[in-house]
Amino acid sequence: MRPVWKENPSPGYQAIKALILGGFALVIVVPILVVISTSLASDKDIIDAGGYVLWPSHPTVKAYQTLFSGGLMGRAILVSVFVTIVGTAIALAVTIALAYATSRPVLFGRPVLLMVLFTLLFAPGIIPMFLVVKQLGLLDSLWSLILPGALGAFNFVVLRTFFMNVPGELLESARIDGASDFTILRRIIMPLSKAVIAVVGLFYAVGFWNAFFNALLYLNDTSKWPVQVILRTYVLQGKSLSADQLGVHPPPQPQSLQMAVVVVALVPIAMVYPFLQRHFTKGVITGAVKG
Amino acid sequence: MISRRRFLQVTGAAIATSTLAACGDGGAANGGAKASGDLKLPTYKPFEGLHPDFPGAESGLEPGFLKFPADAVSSVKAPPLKSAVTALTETFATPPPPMGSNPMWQALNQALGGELRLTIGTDPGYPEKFATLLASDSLPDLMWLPPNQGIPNIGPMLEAKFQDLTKYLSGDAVLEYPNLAALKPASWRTAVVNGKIWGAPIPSTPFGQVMMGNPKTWAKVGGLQCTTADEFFAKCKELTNGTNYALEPAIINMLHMFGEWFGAPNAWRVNQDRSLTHLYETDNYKAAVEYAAKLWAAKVFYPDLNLADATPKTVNGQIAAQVVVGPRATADFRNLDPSLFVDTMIPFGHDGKAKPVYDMGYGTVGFTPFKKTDEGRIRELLALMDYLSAPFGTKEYLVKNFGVEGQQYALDAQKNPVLTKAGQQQAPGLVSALQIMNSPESVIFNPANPDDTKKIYATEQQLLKFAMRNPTAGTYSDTSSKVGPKLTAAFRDTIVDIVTGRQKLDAYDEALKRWKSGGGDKMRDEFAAVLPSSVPVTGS
Repeated sequence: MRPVWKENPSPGYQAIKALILGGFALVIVVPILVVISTSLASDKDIIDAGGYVLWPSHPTVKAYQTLFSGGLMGRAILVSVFVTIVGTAIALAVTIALAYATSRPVLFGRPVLLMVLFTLLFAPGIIPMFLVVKQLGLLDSLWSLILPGALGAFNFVVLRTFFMNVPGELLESARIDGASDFTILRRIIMPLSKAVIAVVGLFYAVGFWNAFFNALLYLNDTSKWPVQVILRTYVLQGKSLSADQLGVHPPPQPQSLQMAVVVVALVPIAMVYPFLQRHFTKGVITGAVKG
Repeated sequence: MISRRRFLQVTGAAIATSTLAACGDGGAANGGAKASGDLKLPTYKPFEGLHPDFPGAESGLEPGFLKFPADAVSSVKAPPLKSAVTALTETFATPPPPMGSNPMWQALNQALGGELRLTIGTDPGYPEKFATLLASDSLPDLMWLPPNQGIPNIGPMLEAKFQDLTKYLSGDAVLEYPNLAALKPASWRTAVVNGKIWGAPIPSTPFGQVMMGNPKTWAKVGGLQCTTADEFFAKCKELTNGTNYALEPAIINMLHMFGEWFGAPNAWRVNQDRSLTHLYETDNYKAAVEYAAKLWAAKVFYPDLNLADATPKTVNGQIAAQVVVGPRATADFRNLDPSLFVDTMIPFGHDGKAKPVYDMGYGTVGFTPFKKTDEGRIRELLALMDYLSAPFGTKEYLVKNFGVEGQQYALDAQKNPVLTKAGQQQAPGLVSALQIMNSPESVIFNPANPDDTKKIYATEQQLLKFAMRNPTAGTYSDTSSKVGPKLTAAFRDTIVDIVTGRQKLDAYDEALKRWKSGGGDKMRDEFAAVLPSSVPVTGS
């Protein structure tokens, strides 16, 4: 709230502020509007606009109908949802457990273990990863999208640092009351770290949702492809039929199909975000001010 | 086929004006190119029993069909497979429903006599998939090898992991597989590395880039065709006003067109003494660059250099002309506006007198080598290649491209196959994946607009009058494969700077010097040393 000693801003100043902020808002809103409008645009709209459409004058859901008609997209959404939910759960469990263990000074061989974990920060390269996945028998299985990425080194470091800052006295008092490590983790550490866990969880979830490269490499069966691979194929390839096969039902323009896939890939993760936003801001500024 | 044409479009410019650098990987180090020249290519025997409305020719002229041949003939005697085959391929369309829920795929398997298990990659990402399979030694029976996605060390890789097919395909041996014998020698040349044949080539259009324009737009200035560069300049200026522009902002591709009018060679010029002069070293190309800069200064190029796809803008008239691959690309515009048949520019001499050039393309999308195996299996896989290379108009072609009548396709009033709703779901991704690993020689066929076929055929005849092929096609230079793409990219950066006015024309000569010392001269020596005697002289 404005302090009492401060004068009200002049209308001119307010107008300039509104203009600048409005400009920034437009920069964000217009591209999203173009995506949604183009996905709903008719063929005529697209040709009239010469590509992407700002506002469809003949809206149609043809692109979405085409998208979901083959069954591939529906299955892909299920795959993505499965990978994201199960993957995030596993990743959080693994990361929290490891972060807690390595945050306790009593752990035997901690320096060595930390050295080993430090190497996780560096990517091993495509071929070694492929060989590991193959040896584990995960090729062509959805687990190949989850397990290799189950421990993110960055997220691990963030969580561990946070856990280390929990006062040791708290844990000691719990231990005097007879709490086991598991109870301490569950009853003390985790409730205190809700914000940071939510943020790390969101990082993982967005990562799993957006991942496509692993799917390209490890999955040969197209029915197991997640949404992002399909999104990528549509956006990069666009056209789906060759000229001599065009029949009586010409497919929608590539632009509207592409944007429809973008919307489909965007909506689920965008829906999760508002629920975590509160924690997100809190988590990101964690450690910014130390009191 | 649009999908494959788009594949060429992405890299079309590189193929047309560079030195086929990416295709020439490996091989040359041990005189492989020399050996490539000595090989006896498979005997060419066109498929009999088909009667196109407009006959094709070995020059590259594509046969034209006004309608799909009635009573499709069979081109193979028996189903080729006895057991399942695995293959790595790539789709340029939306991914197909998997085999288990794809009746068209199942019907194909039945026709083949065994399951065709495809691993379908996408672009980009294909080279990585290829590399991982290779490194982990889990090779499928067949692996499509693209010529232009930068897969390195092709020569040693083929020798180590893949099957030499020379004795099964060279000379008359190929006659055992009639559909493979119907592939042209120019196509086969792209499947030869180190003097050995490694697979069946996958023909695409033999034509290179062309300029196409919307006739409604060009009508205001008397049509797209011109007789001098000055006339073209004046027309472009007239067509540009407000938000309408004359030319698509693909500078390198446009420059390729201008180069043709100024008589620049297709990649290399073969001099009387059989020495080579590179495109960049010719005054013709430099003059084209100067001309492009003049056009840019007149603001006739669409200003957003990042425009991804100019097609809708050409259709609605915002852009007057764009560059596409091959005269058959008129179909891309028909897709957007069924009433629109775009004009194709026929190259002309820049001053109205000089002889123009028309650059033919690479002609194939590579080949599909086999994993090392025994003779029985080789024969089985060759029979599969034979089946999948069945010419347009045959029964096998229908099964591969359209599926089963009454299920995936129906015959329209003219008896042309047209995909049904089910076909539209099952076919695109699968057909694209099959076409990229095996194809017959291309044809002109526009079922919805048979008249287009006639016009495209006429255009092809006109283009062929000025046709020039890259003299180094099918030969290899080690230097070119190692540093060629980098040198080309660096040189092009300078050219774009010159055209867009960021650098003066003087920068051209310095960039050329860097190109020569960076490996250009070495490339010339290597290519000249293996230049086949059949390649004609193209300069003084």
